[in-house]
Amino acid sequence: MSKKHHHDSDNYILSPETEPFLERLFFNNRVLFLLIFLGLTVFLSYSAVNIKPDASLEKLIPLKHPYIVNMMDNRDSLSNLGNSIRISVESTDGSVFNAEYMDALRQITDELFYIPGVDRAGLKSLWTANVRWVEVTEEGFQGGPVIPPTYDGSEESLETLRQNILRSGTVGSLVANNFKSTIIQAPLFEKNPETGERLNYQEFSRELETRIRDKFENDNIKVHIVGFAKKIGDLMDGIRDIGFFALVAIAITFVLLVLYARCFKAAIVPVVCSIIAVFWQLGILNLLGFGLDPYSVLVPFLVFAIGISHGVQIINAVALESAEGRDKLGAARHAFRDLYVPGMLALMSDGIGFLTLLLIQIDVIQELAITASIGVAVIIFTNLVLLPLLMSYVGISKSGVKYYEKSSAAEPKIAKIMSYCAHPTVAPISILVGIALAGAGVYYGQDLKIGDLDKGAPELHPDSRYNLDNAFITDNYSTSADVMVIMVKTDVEQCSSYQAMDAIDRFQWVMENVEGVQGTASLVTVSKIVSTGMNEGNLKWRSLSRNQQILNSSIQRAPAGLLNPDCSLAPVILFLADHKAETLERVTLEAENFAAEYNIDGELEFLLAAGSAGIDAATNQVIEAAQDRMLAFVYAVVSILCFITFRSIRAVLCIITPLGITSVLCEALMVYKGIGVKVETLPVIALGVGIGVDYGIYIYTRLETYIRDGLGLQAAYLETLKTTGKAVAFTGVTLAIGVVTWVWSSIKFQSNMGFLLTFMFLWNMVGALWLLPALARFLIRPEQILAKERIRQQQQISDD
Amino acid sequence: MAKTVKTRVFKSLLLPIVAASSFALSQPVFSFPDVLETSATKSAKAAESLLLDVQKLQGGRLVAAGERGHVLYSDDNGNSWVQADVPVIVNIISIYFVNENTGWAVGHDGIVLKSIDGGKSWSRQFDGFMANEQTLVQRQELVEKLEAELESASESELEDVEYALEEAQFAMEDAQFDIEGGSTKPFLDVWFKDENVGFVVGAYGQIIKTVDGGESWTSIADELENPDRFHLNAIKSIQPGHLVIVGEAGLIIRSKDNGLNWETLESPYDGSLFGAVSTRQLNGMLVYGLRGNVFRTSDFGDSWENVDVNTEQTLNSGKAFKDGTIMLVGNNGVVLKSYDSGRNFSATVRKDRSSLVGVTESDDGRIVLVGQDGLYLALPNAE
Repeated sequence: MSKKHHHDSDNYILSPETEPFLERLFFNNRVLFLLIFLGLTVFLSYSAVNIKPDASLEKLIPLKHPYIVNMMDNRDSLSNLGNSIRISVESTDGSVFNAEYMDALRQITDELFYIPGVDRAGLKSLWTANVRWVEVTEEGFQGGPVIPPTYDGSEESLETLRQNILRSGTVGSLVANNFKSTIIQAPLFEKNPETGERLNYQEFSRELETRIRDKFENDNIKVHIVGFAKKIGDLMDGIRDIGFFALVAIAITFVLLVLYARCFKAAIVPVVCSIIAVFWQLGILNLLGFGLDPYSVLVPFLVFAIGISHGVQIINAVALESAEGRDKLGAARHAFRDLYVPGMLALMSDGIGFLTLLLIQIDVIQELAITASIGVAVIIFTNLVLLPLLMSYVGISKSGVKYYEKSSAAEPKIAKIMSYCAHPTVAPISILVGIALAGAGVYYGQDLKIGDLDKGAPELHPDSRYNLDNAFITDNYSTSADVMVIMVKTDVEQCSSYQAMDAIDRFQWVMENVEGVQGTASLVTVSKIVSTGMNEGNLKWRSLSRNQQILNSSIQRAPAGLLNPDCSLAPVILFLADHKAETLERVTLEAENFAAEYNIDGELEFLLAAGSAGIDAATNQVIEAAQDRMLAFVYAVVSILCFITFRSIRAVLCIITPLGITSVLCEALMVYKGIGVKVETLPVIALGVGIGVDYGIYIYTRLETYIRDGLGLQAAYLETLKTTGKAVAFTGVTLAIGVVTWVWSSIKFQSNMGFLLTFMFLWNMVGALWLLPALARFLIRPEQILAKERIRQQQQISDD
Repeated sequence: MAKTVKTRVFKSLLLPIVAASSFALSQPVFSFPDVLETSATKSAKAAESLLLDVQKLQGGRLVAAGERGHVLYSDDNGNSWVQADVPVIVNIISIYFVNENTGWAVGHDGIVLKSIDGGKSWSRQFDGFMANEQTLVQRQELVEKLEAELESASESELEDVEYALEEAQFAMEDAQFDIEGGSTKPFLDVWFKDENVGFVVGAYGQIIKTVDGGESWTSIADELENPDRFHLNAIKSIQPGHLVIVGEAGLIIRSKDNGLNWETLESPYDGSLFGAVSTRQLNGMLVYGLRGNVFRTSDFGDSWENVDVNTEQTLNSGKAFKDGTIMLVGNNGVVLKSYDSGRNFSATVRKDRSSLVGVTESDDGRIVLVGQDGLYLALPNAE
């Protein structure tokens, strides 16, 4: 706000009297407040340093969704299904049947045996004694370890090994279908049985890298590692890069600030204040008991960027006041007085925009809402109060003031050209282009999908090492990375009753016939295989027996994960082709229909759903339900805020329409980039709209003021551009810089968020500068505003 | 050796009779109709899932059957298959058509189905529960008969009759247990002489006979010499009038009068035999089974010679083709071929190593295989 108009900015939130009061409060007690800020900064920085990384995965999943409730209710019974890693050792030189390969495999198995966290008894590889071949003979069963006891690496013993592998039934599970790699499977202890300590995934994952991959990989041997622990470890490692991104963002921002203000002091103060905001925000988070997870680690970037963008406005105002000849203190005071209200308003709309994210019942998004709102609240103090206070001491350098004078004295060509956006001929063209863009956005955005669209672990890039390893294993073994578990609950000791098993058997067949289900497994699968085995390997016996004794003996040695100890729960595992939304929808719909038809409370219940795909399905459902609600809510909130501020629906339309076009284009962009609506992309919309509205607010405020002064629309817009246009453009750029570095994150969702937010910040800025005046040409009646203004002034005079 | 194994299994089944009968009462009632009361669902996956038998009918239609009540038929030599209407979802193990229209299918839970439209639709004739009732009645009659005999038995006969009675009483309790526990036994093979007379053989020595096209069935287990009630795995016609039944523990039983009289033979083998196939020479046949064991006779089983086939895979099914080639198929994709009436075989293993359970020849000379992963059409060399 320029000085001469400051008497007009009696915006409807704070009465004119409070401005001077706050100004007096802060600027008459500068030392006291600086000391308070210093104390708070020291205290909160100390707290911020102690903030803990938090990779709790529960936060990423919608804990209130019925699927997840079912999963959590039965998590103890399901735990045996879960946590293991698989290391595929590949021979790049022919098949695995050579002495060098087998020797390396033995060494890797041994090394893995000694890595803390591995359940040694459950370790499985060709070299462990629990991998055996079995054969039916006239005398019964005959078998032995697949590696012959006489193994010596000779051609002959390798041939015996090959025979044993074929007889062992491990092709597809432990041995690749093409015999070029084998798998070492290691179940992990979630808690160390001796010390009771929880497994540190990051440490474990690093041990695997140094002690297995780095040590054994060579020209002939390649190592591929997958498993939950490895994935989490890689994710945590990815978070570390964030520190580097932060430095890059700060450095670029600083350079741009120097170029913008041509004053070192004016550049350093906003940066320092914004960094203080970050420390405050992190400190408060820690005090509230939050940790830093891969999502909330991004909030400090936003806080920094938003802090800078508001700081720029203040620096701009200080330079202006200094140019008018005020001293340091006077310039800072006036800048504060002018910008306190619009700054508050913009920050509040940011914060409320973020709070709409609370609608989505996924902890990580709700935390994001809270942490980002805290961050925005903190900026009110650090950048709207502390920053002018500091400037009152530091002041702006003479060169900076000179540069400001020079640049504002010159009729900027760019501003002149851009003012034509409000021209009666250009405006309709702009609007037509805008409509065309929106139309194209809506058309292409139709294909927007819910959920993750790539193969492999959705948290990581498709070409990340983990996902390449994962692709290698799914390509070469008969296995799927996308697993949905349906929990079948019965009375105690009834999970293996013929009736329950028969029901499970039918359920499996129904599910196997659903497109996208590659296979299923359960206690019934085991029973049938064992029945075949007990009948001399005769497939004619591959059936469920009605005889309970035969049935019981057939599952005596079933893997622990397939039934719980009191036999009241038997999971059915569905192996899916992928985790695309349509696949998950088809599968859950079919399973739910089956459950609805055949569930009998307490006796036999088919409960959805656990496993990675079960979680994905639940998350998709929550997001799909929340998506439209959240969009409606965030737009409603910013619209209402704008309406309260400007008391005009036309103004609201001018400000919100460009945002809407950006949102639509963002969806089209997501389709183009193959990004689905997910946990990470949903916040982007709320953040984009919440922050994006700032531009509109700043521009419209100025535009209206100049119109009140009696200028025509284009002239008013030219003045707007000259005073605030540069700051708005600069703000868009600083915000974009704050998030663009995430694009290079090794974590896919951070990368997606960075990409989409950068797009939204830049496009919202473009929309505000280009479309807002065009819309104003049609929606705003300068005569009306002028008439209102005259009435108001008359009233004021008569009141006085 | 296998005898001891089987006897042990059998005893362990008998022991918990009391416990099991109380179990039956506490079983929850679910909303599913029984597998014998549920019609098979039509599924595209039927052709890719477990199939256990395939036959070519007169007129060229191919019919295959397998798990979950799946029956498929093809009128274009196996290029395309249609799923038949079947009133049950139990595994069907064996099919047999006497002509292009009339055939039977047997399988788990003692199911016997009949088709009179060349396999397009099937209706139930008999099942394991009916078999259980019949067995109980039959065994009760035997016990009553022996009890009566005991009254009038002479001193020297007394011990034998007492022993027989005891055995009969055990057998009766066994039958009672099956009824109470709802336990049924699978039928493993079926053969019909014509539209009226036929036999079905199955697990635990079951053999039933019909003379009215399956309207009624009678157990003739007592007419066979199979005291240990070994599984009867297959019944085959070798040449007109000549039947052979093979089973567990090397059991070979023959009939030279279409099943009126049966005679258990001296066996060359004590492991399980899963099938028999004519060599298309007078009185010539092969029996085959566990671990690649194949035996050949030229005198309908009076004497046997061991055929070395160079595989240790279990052989499940065999077929003599029109050109005289004999093909045997088995577990893990093994295919054996003989061009000299079964004296010598060459062995190949199919690439996917999927176990094979049935084989036949289509009218265009291709081989139709069924097994673990459904249907396969192969060139005459079965590769």
